Amino acid sequence: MLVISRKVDEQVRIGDEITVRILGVQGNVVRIGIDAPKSVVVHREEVFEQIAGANKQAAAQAPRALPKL
Amino acid sequence: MNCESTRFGTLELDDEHVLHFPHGLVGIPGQFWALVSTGEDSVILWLQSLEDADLALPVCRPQIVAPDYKIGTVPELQGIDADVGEPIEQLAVVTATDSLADWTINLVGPILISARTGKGVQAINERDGLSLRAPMWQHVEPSDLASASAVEYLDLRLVRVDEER
Repeated sequence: MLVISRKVDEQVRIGDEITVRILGVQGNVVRIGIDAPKSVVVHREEVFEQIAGANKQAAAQAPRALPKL
Repeated sequence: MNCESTRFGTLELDDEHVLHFPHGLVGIPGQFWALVSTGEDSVILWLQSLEDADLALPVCRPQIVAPDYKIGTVPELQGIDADVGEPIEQLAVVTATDSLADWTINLVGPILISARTGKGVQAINERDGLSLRAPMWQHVEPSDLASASAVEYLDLRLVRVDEER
């Protein structure tokens, strides 16, 4: 993993089209601003993990057949 | 082509039945899936993996159980070469247990499939107040589903089987 130290208002550029700017630091919370093309999907990591968990649970619990509704 | 499945036996698939998820589903392997309908009147469909016979997820159009459900801007659509203006089927994963009353539906991770290309992606809906495990029967009763239609756009891509084995 590449580790870079940045101050507030400094940026990191990823490839040609993505920049990440440190907007502010308060205690242990860092606010970052991400500029990326619309085709690049940006979400918080824990959201992915929650959806992965829900998918796996749905797959594991899926019955052999559904009841007639 | 034919494809084996644990629940439905051998599925006879034409090209339009094969749905391609270039990025897979979140946390679940496999790029190729089919949408299986087990009866004319069933609004719950199965997203069946074409790479793992055991793997199938019950799915349902989220608007059927959550009438106000909306998906905002969806950057994920660009990953499947789709455009917001074209017919995109929206489906949500249902966690179905033995007890019907305990069923939940994932409104945070909708599955979007382009009717034109058959390509799909699982998106993330970050609107406030949505649940990964929303109670299925919060707004509708199971009996209300009889009048709903299972799909809006993907009719020609549905694999129809008589019933589960």
